[in-house]
Amino acid sequence: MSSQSIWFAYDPQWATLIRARLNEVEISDLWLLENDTSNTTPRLILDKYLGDPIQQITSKKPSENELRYDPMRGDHQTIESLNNFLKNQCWRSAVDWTITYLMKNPQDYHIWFIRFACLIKLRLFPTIENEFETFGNLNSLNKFPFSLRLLYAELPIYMDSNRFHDGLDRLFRLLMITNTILSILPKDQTQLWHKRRLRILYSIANCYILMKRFDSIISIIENQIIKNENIEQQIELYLLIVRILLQTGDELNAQRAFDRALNLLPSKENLSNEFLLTKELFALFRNEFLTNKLLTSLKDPIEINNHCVVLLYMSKMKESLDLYEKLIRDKHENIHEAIIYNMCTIYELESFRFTQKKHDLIDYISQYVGDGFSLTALKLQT
Amino acid sequence: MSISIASTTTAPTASTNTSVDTIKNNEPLAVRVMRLSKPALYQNIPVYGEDESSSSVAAFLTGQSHDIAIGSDNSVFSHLLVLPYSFGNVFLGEIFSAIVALHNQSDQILRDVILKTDIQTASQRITLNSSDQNDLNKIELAPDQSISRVLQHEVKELGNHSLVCTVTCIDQNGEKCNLKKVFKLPVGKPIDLKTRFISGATHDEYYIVADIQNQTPSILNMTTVALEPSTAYTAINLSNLHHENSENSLCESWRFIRPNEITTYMFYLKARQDASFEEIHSTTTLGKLDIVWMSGFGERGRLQTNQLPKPTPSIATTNLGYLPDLRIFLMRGQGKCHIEEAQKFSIRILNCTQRTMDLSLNFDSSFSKREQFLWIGIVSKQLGKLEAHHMYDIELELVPLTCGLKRIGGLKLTDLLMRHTYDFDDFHHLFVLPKIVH
Repeated sequence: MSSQSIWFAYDPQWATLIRARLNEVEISDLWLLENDTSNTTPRLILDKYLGDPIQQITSKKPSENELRYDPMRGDHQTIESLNNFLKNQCWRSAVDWTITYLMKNPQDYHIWFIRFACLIKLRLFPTIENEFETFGNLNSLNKFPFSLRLLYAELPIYMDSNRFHDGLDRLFRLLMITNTILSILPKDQTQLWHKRRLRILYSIANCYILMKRFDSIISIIENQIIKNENIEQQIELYLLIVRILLQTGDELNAQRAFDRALNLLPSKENLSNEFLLTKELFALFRNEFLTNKLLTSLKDPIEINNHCVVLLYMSKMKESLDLYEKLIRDKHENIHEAIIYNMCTIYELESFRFTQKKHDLIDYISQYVGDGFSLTALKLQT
Repeated sequence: MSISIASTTTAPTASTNTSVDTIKNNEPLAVRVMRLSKPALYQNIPVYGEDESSSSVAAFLTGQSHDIAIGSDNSVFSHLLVLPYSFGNVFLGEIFSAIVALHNQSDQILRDVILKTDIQTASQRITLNSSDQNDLNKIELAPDQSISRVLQHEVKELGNHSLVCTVTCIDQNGEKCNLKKVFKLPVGKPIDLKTRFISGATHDEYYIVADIQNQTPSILNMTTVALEPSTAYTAINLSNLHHENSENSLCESWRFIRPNEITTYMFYLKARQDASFEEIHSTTTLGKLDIVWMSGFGERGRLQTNQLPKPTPSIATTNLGYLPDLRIFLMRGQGKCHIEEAQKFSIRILNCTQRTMDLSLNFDSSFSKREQFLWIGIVSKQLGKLEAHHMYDIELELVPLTCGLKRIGGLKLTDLLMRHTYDFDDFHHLFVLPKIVH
């Protein structure tokens, strides 16, 4: 048996069952359905509103804020309103919105997906797991979105380190069914399922990353994923391998991976942002801190954040903070949890007045961030 | 180690009393220290959706795409660096790196600010100098102004360590103020090392087996685990023999040890061809292990063991030195045979002492009984005089009575001049197979 068989395995008996339904359903809805006569209706477990914790601690009163769900407002009950919350990363508002809707329409799987997607962003994993259980056997549900099946399969890997194998079990089962579906589809109709299959492989790779199984990560990226992707994506993936290897202390192979990414470029001039960011990571590894970086040339928020971190390592605490303050005031989109976290860490180092500074920071960002923002970034001791 | 922003329990910033100074104290200057272990990459949760399925899914994906940490590689690892989230442990062999910040929390200008930083261990006090050319000494600090200095110290001993920061300055009234803060540094052992020695088939061969357990919370990339042999010996590293040198693979996963895992390394040691008798026998040590590792974003560590001692011989010595008086070497003999098949062995006897011996040979019958073989031929005889540092060969013959792996030994050599008997344990192993019945 070739070592590759786990990636391509499929079950011929399942193939027969699925093939029988080819003419009855849309290709995107194909699945291996089990018969399960128990009729369960999905229901909410968390039926309290999440609210907005940041608004609760800021002293600034929100103006007529369109971007916070208000159950009293009629115009907030529309899909347009939900979509508005989602586009602005207001995950809590979106979750609160789904409460009313799902109580009336518990079979709308797309809205369940929205709910769970937002909950997973908010890291409220037990709620998702408990509410999934109310669905009964997922394998018996007709027209259940693939993205929801994938989210269910990925859930354990984010929950805690004891559940990695649950996640892998679920993901590999998903993979096998997907392979089976691909085996029965006509060649010109496989595009969607190939895309889905590839995404399952990415999820498995993420699980390996979280498990720190480096032999497996690099093997799956190099051997299973890369060859199915276009050149730009291959470059991204090699750069991902570089980050993984630098994070674990293997500079030699990180350099080899970087060179492979470079070799895929048509020209080595005008390296993209991702390349420059990765080069900076090598410099960090080797303790080669550039002292004369032109601050005006930095536009990308990630680049600026990483530069601020490096400034601290060069003992330039004040310059780092000044640059951070400028970063978040220049463009509101730059406000990110990691950036706020770094700022708060430096505040704590700088002076005893860090509590006041953090509150000033909260007052400022509360006007601009969606309610998906996590308070833990602020490192408040309450 | 990569993290998502979890709630912190131990702040990376340390001060003397509580974990955080929230109340301004009466001192004009505040001293804060933050551990500068290397940063980590921010981790996120990339969610997959298909925008064709509904407008809300498309809206969600749009919202997700505005998250600067989410890239197109669908990975949990972003490009964003995050500062260390806890003080962490300090490990022997690694470089402790920290940033010290001084903050003028008074409303006066402070002049001639001098900061001294030292590491105090159980045995010594080491001054840490800033690697920065623009040193902090003799500086003026305006009210509410802060300055910082980065310190590095290679941790070379275990036990209690403290970072002692002493600051002096002169306030606006011309009064001198003095401030001393002590920060405890928890120093731990990064690896647990267990070594075993296995004597080789001939006397001057050894196999050294080293088990290394990673006792840090990070993954360690063991860049070097080498044995530096003592002068009379040469070493071969046997740990890498089975790794195919694959030009294409980007992952050498055998080099990594994950937290709490143990990896075994093996070395073969042999006396150098050109080493003299005295050189080989007078060294009581085999060599030392040199261990170098790297972890996240270039944290380095290095440890060297003490000289590993030669395993003590099982033969009693009458001289005061380390040398056994007599050594025996198997010169000719089979490693396996069939049951009840007579086996001949040729043994070399070496007199390591400075005196002449007059040897006679006997066998330990309980040994051969236990191992189930029988010495045949002449089982007790005079061997004759053997001068200092000289050797001669003798022929022995035995018959194995049962099958299996047998230890062959149980020789007794008596020096008639000193009236001293040397007992020799096994010098060989014999694997006895059953007879084939045709």
